[in-house]
Amino acid sequence: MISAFLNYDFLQHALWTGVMVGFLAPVIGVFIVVRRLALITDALSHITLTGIAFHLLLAQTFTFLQLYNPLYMGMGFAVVSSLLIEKLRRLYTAYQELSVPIMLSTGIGLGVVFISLADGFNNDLFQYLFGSIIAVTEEDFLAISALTVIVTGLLLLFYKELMFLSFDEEQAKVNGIAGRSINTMFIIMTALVIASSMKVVGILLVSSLMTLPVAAAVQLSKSFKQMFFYAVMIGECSVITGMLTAFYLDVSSGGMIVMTSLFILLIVLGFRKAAGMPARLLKRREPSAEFE
Amino acid sequence: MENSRSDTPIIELENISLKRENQTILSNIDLRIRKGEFLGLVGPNGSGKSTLIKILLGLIRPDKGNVHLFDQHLKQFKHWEKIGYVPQKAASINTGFPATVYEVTAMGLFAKVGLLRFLKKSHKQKIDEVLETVGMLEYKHRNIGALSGGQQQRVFIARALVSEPEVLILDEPTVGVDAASVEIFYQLLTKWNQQKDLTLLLVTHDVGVMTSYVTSVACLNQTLHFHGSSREFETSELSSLYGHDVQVIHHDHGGQ
Repeated sequence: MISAFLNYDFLQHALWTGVMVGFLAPVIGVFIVVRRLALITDALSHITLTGIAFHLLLAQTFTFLQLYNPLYMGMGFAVVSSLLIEKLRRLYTAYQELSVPIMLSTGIGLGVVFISLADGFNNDLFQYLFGSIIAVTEEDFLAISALTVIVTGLLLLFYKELMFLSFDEEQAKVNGIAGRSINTMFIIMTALVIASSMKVVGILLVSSLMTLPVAAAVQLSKSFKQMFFYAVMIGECSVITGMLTAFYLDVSSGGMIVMTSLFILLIVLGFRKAAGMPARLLKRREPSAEFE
Repeated sequence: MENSRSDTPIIELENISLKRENQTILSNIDLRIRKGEFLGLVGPNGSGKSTLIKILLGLIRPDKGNVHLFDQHLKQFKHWEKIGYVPQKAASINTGFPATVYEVTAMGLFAKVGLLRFLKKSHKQKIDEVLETVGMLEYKHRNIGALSGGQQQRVFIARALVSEPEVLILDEPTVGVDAASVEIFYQLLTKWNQQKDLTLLLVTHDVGVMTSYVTSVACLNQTLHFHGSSREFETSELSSLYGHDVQVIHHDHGGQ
């Protein structure tokens, strides 16, 4: 089955792009989930759609724009709004999550205006909403390859600092960690990963690829490092299974990927329950042995 | 006590004032902490103790006044590894975080190790050592969220100690810890203070047994009411004033 899949050049691009997205999205997702900012991915993905719609609208008047990939405009929008989110997050320290609905509504509002100005939905936009592996071009493939190398490198180099900031931002700053610049770098990476996952999983579903594998990994891991291992394993399983089934069943790849990761999450939850370790037991406190 | 202790202050707060929404939180605080001192900073709830600590650490900017750490102005100060800080009941942490005791303790070394570098074998040994000191080595691979409040507190103390700071600042470290364990905890602090020459700043609303361990006391309630040796404090009127408060607080905790 897979060998037939690999006979088509365009499907190979799609598959390798999917494998990269299946790695990037959960890895970034681990940091986002532990920071309790899972919904940020939704805000950023909607803003990406706004950028894409803006590009398609402009391209109607400035035809030379049709030569360019609208994804870049989406990435631009996502990066700018990620910086705004970071700014809002500092403004509302006690209600950090408020930054998310503010950007989410901005994104949807603007997006709807652009789409209606461009005379409604066309086929292109539909691909971005739900993802389509057939739509992955060689250019997308190359752009995402470059992004994978950069993001992986940065995450390895700044792993310590990102972990500390996610665990306890204030303490990390007291220890002299440059919180502001590292947070900014991280949110930009998040925006870029979200924008580039668009073709494979679609705007409405990017956030699920960033959160569902992590939700399952939380149940399985004993340490922070293990979270990455499990999240990536589950992410890759979901992407590969989802893409293959989507191709053979001729349905949307994004939908199949999300259904697979949801299925894995349910198995993990069921497995934990069967093993007599329901999730809430993780929270149980040890009998206290204080400063003895 | 020992001759090696110099008289130059390593923490110097000068004329610190802070207002929030027209309410005075701190006014004209002058406080010097010398090397080797074990200072208890006491005051009732809402007296501005934690705020003063946050100003000292550069987390809050005061309206007026200067902070000097190790003879350097706060703005120029870069050697944060010299200062260990254990926040109040580790308030800012998120206990659902899937990190092990080892991983949390290692965080204390990150700034010292530096950007773009990884932990070395010697660092890992240091982590084991410090976990042993606080009696948490056997929990090394446990999840931080699965530990009791007192155990978590010890891990956070280990995290503060692992970079071998010269000053350790503890904000209400004994809240939620039973009376017998508090005594043992203070004995441990005294040992570090005397043997390792660790300067200690302990913030508490609970004067209780604390006065018999610290070398000096500062009483804060918006302004500094007293700053002197713990012996002077015990014989002063303030002691009975603050001491009275303590009894009430003790009963409150006992009832839980």
